[in-house]
Amino acid sequence: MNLHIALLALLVVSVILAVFLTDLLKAAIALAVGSAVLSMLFFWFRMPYAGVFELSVCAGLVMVLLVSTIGLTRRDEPENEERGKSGWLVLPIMMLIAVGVIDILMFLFLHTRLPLVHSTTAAPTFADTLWRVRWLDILGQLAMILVGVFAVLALFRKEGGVTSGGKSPDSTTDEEHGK
Amino acid sequence: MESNVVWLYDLLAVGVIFLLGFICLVAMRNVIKLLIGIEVLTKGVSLALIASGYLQRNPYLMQSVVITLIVIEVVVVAVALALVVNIYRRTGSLDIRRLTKLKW
Repeated sequence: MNLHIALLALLVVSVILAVFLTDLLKAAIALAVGSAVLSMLFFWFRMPYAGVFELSVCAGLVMVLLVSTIGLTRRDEPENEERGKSGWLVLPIMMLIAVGVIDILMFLFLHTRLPLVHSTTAAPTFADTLWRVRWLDILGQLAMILVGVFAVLALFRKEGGVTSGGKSPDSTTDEEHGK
Repeated sequence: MESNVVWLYDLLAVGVIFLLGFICLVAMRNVIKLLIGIEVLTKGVSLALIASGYLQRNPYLMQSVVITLIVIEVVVVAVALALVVNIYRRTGSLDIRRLTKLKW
């Protein structure tokens, strides 16, 4: 039980760091740490398959994608934009306290009436559940992956030697026109 | 009783994580930060699903739903990050306030 509470606290702390750190690289690392902690929570709940997926995909792949994108863009962007916003912290802290109070009240008064998620069938194993009960999800996942691949290809396609998202050597942006 | 206490702590954590995600989406101006906000919201959803599966003693169903959620999340993040790179190349900035035109 103590481990569960410690993991939840660690998850919330890493999420707070991911949201409020101004350095994007540090925020991405904090998010990856949060994913790793969440996967530990999954293992604590005795759900190892979801834990493995969370650890390898969210803490690994998404982290790599985020760091690559941060590397392709400037790193000094957020400090310039979000400097002097400490006054904004008052509202989030107040809202955090409010949601905590609402959560406790909800649990105290409504926990016996919480809607329950109905179990569809009593499948004996995880493989049976995934491949027979939730087979339509697999099709949806395949469709999503295909859509993602084609979308990324379309976004980075070349048009006459120039990347669609990139600037051609002789073109100028609005900013440069403004100067 | 123990599962109810577990549910209480998880409910609290899910509420806080959701709130942080919404704050990130509303208050931040950097597009990568907005993506981090979406990721944070997804973490909250995953935790809620897994905790409810534990409470219902139906772990296999919830694990398969969470795996579907993770796959969709990765695809969304990959496409969004490709968009971010294109936005940066076009505007030279990651500030969402500079994206006021639907046409380049």
